[in-house]
Amino acid sequence: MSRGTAQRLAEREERSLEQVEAGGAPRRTRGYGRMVWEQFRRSKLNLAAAALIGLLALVAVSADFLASDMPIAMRWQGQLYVLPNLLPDAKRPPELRRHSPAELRALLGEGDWALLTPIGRGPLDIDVTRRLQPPSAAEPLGTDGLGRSVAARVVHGSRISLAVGVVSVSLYVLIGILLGALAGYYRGWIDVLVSRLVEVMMVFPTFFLILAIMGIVERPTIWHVMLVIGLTGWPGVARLIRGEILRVRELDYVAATRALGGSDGRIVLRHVIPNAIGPVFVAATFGVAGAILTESSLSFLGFGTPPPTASWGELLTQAYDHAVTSGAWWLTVFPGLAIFLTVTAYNLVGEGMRDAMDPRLRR
Amino acid sequence: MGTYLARRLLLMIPTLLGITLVTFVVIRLAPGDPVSAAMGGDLQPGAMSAEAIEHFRREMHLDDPVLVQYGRWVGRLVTLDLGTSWRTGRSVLEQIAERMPVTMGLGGAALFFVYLLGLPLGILSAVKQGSASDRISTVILFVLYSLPSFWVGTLAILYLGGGKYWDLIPVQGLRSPGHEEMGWIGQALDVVWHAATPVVLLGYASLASVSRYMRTGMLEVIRQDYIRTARAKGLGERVVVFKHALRNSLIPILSHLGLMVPFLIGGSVIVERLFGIPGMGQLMFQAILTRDYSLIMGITTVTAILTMLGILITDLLYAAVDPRISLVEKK
Amino acid sequence: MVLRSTAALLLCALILPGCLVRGGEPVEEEAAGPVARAAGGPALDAYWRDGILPPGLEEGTPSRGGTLTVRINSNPPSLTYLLDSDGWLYRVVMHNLHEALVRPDPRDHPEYRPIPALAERWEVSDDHLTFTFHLRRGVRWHDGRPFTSADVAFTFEKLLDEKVRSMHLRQSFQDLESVTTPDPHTVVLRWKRPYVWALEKIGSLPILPAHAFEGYEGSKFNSAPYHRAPIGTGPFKFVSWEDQRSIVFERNDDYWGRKAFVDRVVYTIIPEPNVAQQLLLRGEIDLDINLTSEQYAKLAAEPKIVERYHRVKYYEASYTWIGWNHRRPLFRDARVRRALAMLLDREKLARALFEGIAEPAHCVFYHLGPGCDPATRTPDFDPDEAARLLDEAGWRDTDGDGVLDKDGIPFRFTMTIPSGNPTNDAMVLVFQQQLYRLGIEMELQRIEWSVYTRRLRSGEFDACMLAWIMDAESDPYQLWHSSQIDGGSNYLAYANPELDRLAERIRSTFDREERQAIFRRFNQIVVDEAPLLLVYHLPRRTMVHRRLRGVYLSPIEFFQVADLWIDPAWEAR
Repeated sequence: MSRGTAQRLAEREERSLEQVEAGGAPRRTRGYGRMVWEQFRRSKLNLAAAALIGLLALVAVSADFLASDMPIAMRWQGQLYVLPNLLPDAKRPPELRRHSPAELRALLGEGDWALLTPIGRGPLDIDVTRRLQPPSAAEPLGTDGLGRSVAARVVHGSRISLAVGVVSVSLYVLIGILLGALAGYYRGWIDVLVSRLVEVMMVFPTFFLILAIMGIVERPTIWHVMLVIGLTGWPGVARLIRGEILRVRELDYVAATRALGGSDGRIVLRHVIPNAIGPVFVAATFGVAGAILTESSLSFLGFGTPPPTASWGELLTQAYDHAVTSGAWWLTVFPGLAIFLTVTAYNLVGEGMRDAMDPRLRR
Repeated sequence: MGTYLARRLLLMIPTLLGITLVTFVVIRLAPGDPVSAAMGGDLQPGAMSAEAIEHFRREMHLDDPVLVQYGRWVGRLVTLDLGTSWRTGRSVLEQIAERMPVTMGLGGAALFFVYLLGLPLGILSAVKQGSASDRISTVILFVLYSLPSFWVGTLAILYLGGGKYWDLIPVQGLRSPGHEEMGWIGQALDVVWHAATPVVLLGYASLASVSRYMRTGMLEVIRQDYIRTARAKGLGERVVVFKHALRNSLIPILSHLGLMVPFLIGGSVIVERLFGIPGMGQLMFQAILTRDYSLIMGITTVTAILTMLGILITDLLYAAVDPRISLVEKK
Repeated sequence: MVLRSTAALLLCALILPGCLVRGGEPVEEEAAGPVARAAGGPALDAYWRDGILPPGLEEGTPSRGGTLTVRINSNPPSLTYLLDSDGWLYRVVMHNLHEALVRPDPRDHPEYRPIPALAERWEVSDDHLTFTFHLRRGVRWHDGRPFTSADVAFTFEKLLDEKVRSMHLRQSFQDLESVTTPDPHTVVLRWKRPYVWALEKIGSLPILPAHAFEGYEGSKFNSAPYHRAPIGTGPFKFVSWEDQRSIVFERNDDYWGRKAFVDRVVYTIIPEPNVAQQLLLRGEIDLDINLTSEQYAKLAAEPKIVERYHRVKYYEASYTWIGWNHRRPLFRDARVRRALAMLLDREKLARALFEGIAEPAHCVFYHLGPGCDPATRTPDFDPDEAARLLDEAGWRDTDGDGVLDKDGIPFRFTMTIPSGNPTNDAMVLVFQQQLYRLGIEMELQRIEWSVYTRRLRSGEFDACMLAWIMDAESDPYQLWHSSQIDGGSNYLAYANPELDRLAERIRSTFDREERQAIFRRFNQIVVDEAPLLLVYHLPRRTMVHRRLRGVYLSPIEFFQVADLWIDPAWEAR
């Protein structure tokens, strides 16, 4: 697209994100942050969404305490085991390896005890005799095509989603800031190159590219997913930063400062970053929602998180495979609900922040 | 105008080259190559001599340096030869041409439905800003925006697709088995019936953003001076809204339109997979699975061109709608 | 403020509810819970229950007309079996559109001797080296041109041409010395060495029209448009192929033999079982041989299905297997291999994954044929015995890390399987879990099919999983002979001099009894030495519409579409 159009588009987007500042005076971050928070707090919905995100993070971090086939602590055959649920399979002591969870429980002797996790099964614990069972007391969310607990897989799936969301967005925010700063600061051929690159990335059907890359990689891991999403999401942020730098350069007092001998670097630091942080944060929040959706879509198509790692998208693949032939609604409803709630929460928080930063909506 | 068009079209070329080069290099890094894809189609006991492999590799120029291969590809592109799908021998252009109408049709129908519902919703929201209906519709649209399409699709197939529950929607393709025997109208209705769910799935997420854009644009415009002037002049509310506000709030919609094209094409992969629709998304999916380089390159190129054309058309529409914008660049 | 205390509360709430279980108390049997099965449902007759066709389906006067709809579950790469060895391709095209010189008689159990097709009679010299075929006269291609020996010569020329993608068939004709055509209706084949299955192999070679390939010499042959719109000599003519959707044939009214009964056959391409089920419920498919085990079991509860279809399961010559790469020192000890074979609980998996409709494999040939002794037993699931064998072979956990090791090397390997088959994934994951319990670490790698086959051919794998589909009597040379390790189909690089000897001998054993004895001896060695893990013989799970007559099942052929007709009395109901 031509520069004119790009600029117009940038302006329009930024106007909805930008704080219209009369006079162009710089903001002090501390008071500003508090003010944004005050505005944010006013809506119960925002708070609920933020709380949900917090809860999700908690679940992701404590997944091994919520759903594991090993107990949190136990005394088994006279020996005390503390936190075996945190051990990866490869590090499990040999005497515990030899038995299935049910066998272990049966082998508890006199005076032995075991403190189990609330969902007493792990996400990788296969039991083909219990395939595709609807939710019951023993299996709160039912079992999947391999007899694994859907509840455990949904809990552990949150780890994947959040990890992908946070890491890939962090990656592309960093890349975006770097490239945007370089372009805005040095102008010249760097700017031209970066702008062209931004155009290319925006024109490109990025989902195709991501799909192609994931389909090509020999041993896809979750790191590939994060990397690929990170490498394709930066244009928005880059444009933001670049736009902000360009704007600041035009301001009168910046020209004055430069005339007085102040360095460009400090100007950037003092003026660009405080202004840009808000919109970048908003973009990042929406970005996490988008990254989670992308990872789920990829896993759904079979190109995302490799099995047997639990991922919400993978559960939905099973749901699709078994939808008509066995009516296993629990495979569809629960993971989908998890994705939906997470994405909604992030979107709500993003919207909330954006509205909180908009002076026109200040109350 | 003519020079503007010419310049824009020329500017598309470096972008196109950039995209295709990136795709080409990425795909060449693939571990499986088309020779093994073709040879390994089925593992019936059959020997494969080393000479035969060598022969095929030579024919496909697989051992030349990457840039040389790329150059060769670009050279053929100029003559509109996108190569042949090497497993089946079919021309890439032919396959794309076969599938494109389906995806474009679905995308177009989705766009139509999105704008048909989204614009009035946006206008209503703007005009009734802050009211209960505005808030409710915002919430509903927000929910729609956050619903993953493959979830909704799977739910639809599960509950409405003829399994354990109801049988209300078709779950495959665009035609029923007896399609050929139906009359003209029957065939058209059959296609519409099959396309209904996919189109809804493809479009509903955009409903939120379109109506949001419309609403924001309208709100901005409504507050502007010239609207107040019109009101002050005593023109009726409806006139104010439709004549003045509407025209100018179409501008953000148009910018949105250009950006929807890659989304529609990309988003179609999931919908086409769910419902077995023979479109470009499905074709791309298969091409990646079978390492059909020519096909992957072809689809990427065509999609990129389509998107750029979409943006070009958007810009032209801009100029038509907004009197402040002229196509001549001012420094 | 509120948030902070809420967080604290949540944390407590999470840690507390872990249930405490004590030893010595009676453990409540966690009811595994019955897998949801529909209670009631239509009454099933014995045929439905056992999955066999009721008798009498071939009786009655055939009536002409109608369209047959057959489901196939993948898009074939082309319609020429010479180029692509795709299973569906074979079923759809062979003996329907394309014909061979002879045809193995599908009703001739258990030998399936060849009967005349395009050749009306033939002579074989006493030394089995010269075959003289007398071609049928008056046969025409679908475009009207006459069929002559030039077409046969052309086909063989393409078969043996290195530039043509026909490796899978070429292998069987490696001993063919020359093809001559003394006159337009005679073909003489000369072999270097006697080959007992020469006729059978000729029976699966489709004859192509020489005149349809003008301008497609050399490797251009591979991409000729013919392969997507072929002409043949068979009872059906090609009409159309809508990619990924359907292939349509229509009856050839100028066919030289008994004409087909139905007017058209539509092969609809439906990869998704979901969709197939929908169409079955509406009665819109006549024949579906690709039901999943789940569908096979659960559709019995649908009255609409039971009243409209026969449910059949039948076995082809096939087996699935897990293979050990003998290039790896890990798998060179037969005790280790036997131990591994005892760690796959095939019985349990058959019940859990295949609704019980899977037979643990015991033979590397057609298990219902005379070449397999039904009394052959492959080891049962026995982890204790496996542990003992491994210990005997020197694998012990000397460093206490839970993993078996020997000479400082831990027992670790990678299982590579193709992606896209959830049932195989399930099987392998269960296997992995069992191995883990014994101290063996198996890493799972799923890769895309074309990459997978490349790895197999180049030997870059530790363990793999595959299935073979074979002829009723299949030549073991290609798969098992040590000469086939480089460049052949002996992907496991397994060299056993005794098997080599048997494989060579059997190729020129013309006495049937002797041949079967060699097959049995061959299989016994394979079972004893366990170079691979035999998994299952899986049947085809099929729905056949009740309106079809003339239905006959044969393990060597798909349903003989040319013999089927549609019962008008059923339609009238």
